[in-house]
Amino acid sequence: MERSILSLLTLAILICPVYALNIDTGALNVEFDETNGVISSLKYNNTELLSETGKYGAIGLISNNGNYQYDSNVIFSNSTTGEVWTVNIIYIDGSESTNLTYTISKSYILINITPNNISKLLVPITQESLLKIITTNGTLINANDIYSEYPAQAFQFNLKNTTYLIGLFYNKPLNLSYGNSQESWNLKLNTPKLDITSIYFGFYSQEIPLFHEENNKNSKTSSTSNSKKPYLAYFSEITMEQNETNDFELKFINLDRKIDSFEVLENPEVKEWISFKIINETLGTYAMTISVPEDAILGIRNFTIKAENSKVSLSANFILTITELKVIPIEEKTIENKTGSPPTDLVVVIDNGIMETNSKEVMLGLHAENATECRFSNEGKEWSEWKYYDLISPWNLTEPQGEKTVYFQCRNEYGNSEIVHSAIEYIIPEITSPPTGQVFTATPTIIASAIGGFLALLLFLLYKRKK
Amino acid sequence: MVNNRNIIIGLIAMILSVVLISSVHATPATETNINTSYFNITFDNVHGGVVTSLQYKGVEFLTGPEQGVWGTMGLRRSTYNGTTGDVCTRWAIDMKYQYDQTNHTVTVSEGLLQYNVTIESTLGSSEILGSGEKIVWEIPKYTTMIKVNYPHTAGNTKEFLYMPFIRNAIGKYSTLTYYTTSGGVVTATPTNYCESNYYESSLMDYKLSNNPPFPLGTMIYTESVELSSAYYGADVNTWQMHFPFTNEGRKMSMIFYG
Repeated sequence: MERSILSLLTLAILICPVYALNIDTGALNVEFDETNGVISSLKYNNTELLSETGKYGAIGLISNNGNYQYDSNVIFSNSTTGEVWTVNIIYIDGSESTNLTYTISKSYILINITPNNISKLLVPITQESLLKIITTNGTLINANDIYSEYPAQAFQFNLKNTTYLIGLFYNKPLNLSYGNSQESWNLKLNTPKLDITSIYFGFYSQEIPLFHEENNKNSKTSSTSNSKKPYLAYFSEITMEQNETNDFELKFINLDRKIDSFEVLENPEVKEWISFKIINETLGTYAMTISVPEDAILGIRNFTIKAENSKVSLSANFILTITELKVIPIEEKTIENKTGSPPTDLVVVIDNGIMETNSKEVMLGLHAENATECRFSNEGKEWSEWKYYDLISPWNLTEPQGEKTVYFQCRNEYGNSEIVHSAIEYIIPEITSPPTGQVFTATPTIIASAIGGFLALLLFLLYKRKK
Repeated sequence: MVNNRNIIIGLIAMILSVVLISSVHATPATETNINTSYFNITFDNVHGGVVTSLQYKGVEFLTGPEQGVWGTMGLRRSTYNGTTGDVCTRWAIDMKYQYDQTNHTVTVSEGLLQYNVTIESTLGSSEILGSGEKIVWEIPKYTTMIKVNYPHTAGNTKEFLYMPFIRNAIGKYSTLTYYTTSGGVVTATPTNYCESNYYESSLMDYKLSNNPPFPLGTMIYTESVELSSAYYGADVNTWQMHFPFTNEGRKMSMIFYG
C-alpha cells in the first residue's frame, strides 16, 4: 500500500509542474529553487546569509542515505494568509517520504519536519561573523573551524553587528554539527526521531528606539502617543576584536537641533577608546568610533552614551564584547605545535561521592585541565562517544548490582589524557514506590508520634489492668 | 502518692494521645522543591503554586518571595476592560494574582527525563484557573530548557505569566532584550512607576551581568509565533516582565545558558 502511494507521488512529481518561488516580506527574502524545493537564497535586509551556490550552499534535507534534497525532485506547493506564507514540500528518498513545511513571516521562518526519518537539515550560512551555540547543558560555545557535534537547543549568529539569526529547536534538542566549508558555517541539524521536529529561525536587526513609552499597561494604542518624542536609533550590542577600529552610526529621530555634547559613562576604560563625529547634522546622524587596543582584555563591557543639547538629554546602554584577534591561519595545518600537552588533572566523582546508590542513573561530577572533549566507560569496556567537556554529565550504570567503576578520559589537540576512575556500590532496591512529588516535612514527627501513642496506650492498659 | 502517680500517668497518656492524633493529620509541606542537574526550583504551595525561587547552576534569577507577589513567578488574570480609569489605580480590583490564591495544589509527576509540576484548583476553579484548567511546568532532568504550558483560552481580557527577574545583580545591571515580530532588537530601559513598555515579541533574552566574561541568562520563547506581546516595567532592582497566555493558550520555553 505504502509503495503504491509512493509510486503515485513519484508519478505526481513527474507530471506536476514545479515553479520558482520568491517570497519577499519586505525585510526577509527567501528564494526556493524551482525544481528541488531547497532554499537557494536567504536575504535579510538585503544581506545574503547563504554563502555558496549549489547543493552545499542551499538549505535542504540530507537523507539517511547521504542523498541531498538538492539532487531530487519534490512535490511543491505554497499558500498565503495575510503576511504569512506557507511552503509545503514532499521529499522522497527511496521508500521514505518526508513532509517539510516552511512558514515564513516578516521576521521568522518556522520549519516543521514530519515524520522525522531524515537525518539532517543542512543550513549553510556565511562565515563572516560569530556563531554561538547553546548546548543542552547550557554551555555557550563559539563555533570554530574544527568539525564538531553537540546536542544543541539554540544558536545565535550575529552578522556584522547589524543582523541576527537566532535558531531555536524548541520541540526537542537536536544534534547540531558544523564545520567550515570554504566560506560557510555548514550547520547540520541532526534531528531526533520524533513525530514532528520544529525549528524556529528568527531574523532581527538592531535598530532600537529609545523612549518608546506607554502609560497604560494594558492598552496597545497608547504606545503611539509619544511618537514625536526624540529618540536614538542605535546598535546596543557590539562585538569587536582586539586591535580593531570601527565606526557605529548613531541616528537621532525627531531631533530639531544638533547634539552639543556626548559623554561616555560607567566605564572609564571604554571612554578612552571612543570618539564622536558628525556625519549629517541635518539628518541627526553621528558616528561613534571605537578603537579597541591590541592588549584589551577579552570579555564584556557595559557602558552608557549620554547625548545632550539645550532641549533634550538622551542616554543609551551598550554592551561591548571584545573577542580575540583573529589570525589568518595560513598553512596552519602544516605547522605542528609541540609545546602543548594532553589534558591533565582529571577527576570523576559519582553522585557527589556517595558510597552507595539504588539508582542506575547517576550524575558524574567532572574536572579536567585543558580538555576539549571527554568520554566515559563502565568497567573500562565500551567507551561512549567523545562529548564536549562539561563539569557534569548524566551516566547510566550497568546491571547487575555490585561495585561499579566508571572510567573517564579526555582529549585535546595534543592527544588523549590518562584514564581515571571512580567506584560506587549499586544496590537494586527491593521495593519500588511510585514517585510522588509532594514533599512532606512531618515524616519524623509521624514516626515519633506513632511510637509515643503506642506507649501511651500500653501505659493506659497496664494502669487499668493493675487497678 | 498513688493518686499523684495516677495523675502523672494520665497526663503523659493524654499528651501522647494528642501527639498521636495530631500525627495522623500531618501538615503538608509549604513548598515543593524540584532539584535537577541544573535547576533548583521552589513552588509555594500556600500562595497558589507560584515559583518563589528559580536557580540555574546555583544562580538565582528571581527577586524572591520577600517581595511578595512582585518577586514570584505566576499567572495574572485581568478583568480590566481597558476603557475606564487608569490601570494603575485599578490594579487592586481588576488584577487577580496566582500568588493570592489559597485553593491551589501543586503536584509533581516524575518521568524518565523530566518532572511535570501541575498547578490546579482544589475547588475546580479559582480567580486564576477556570474549571478544569491547569498550569504545567515541564522541568527537564538533564537539559536546560524549561517549558510552561497553559493550554487554555484566556478567561478574561488578558492573562500574563508574571516574571520578576533580577535587574540589579551584585551592583551590576542585567540586560533584557526583546526581539520583536517586526525584526527589531530592543534593549529594555527601566520605566517609571505605573508605566511599562509594550512590544510585539515572541522572543526575549535576559542576561545576568554578574558573571562576565561568561554570560548567564535565558532565552524565553513562545511556541505560538503569531503575534505575541511582552511588557516590562521595573523598579530599581527588578525587570517585571509579563508574557501573555492569551487566545488558545501558550507554551513558553526558557532556554537557560551560561
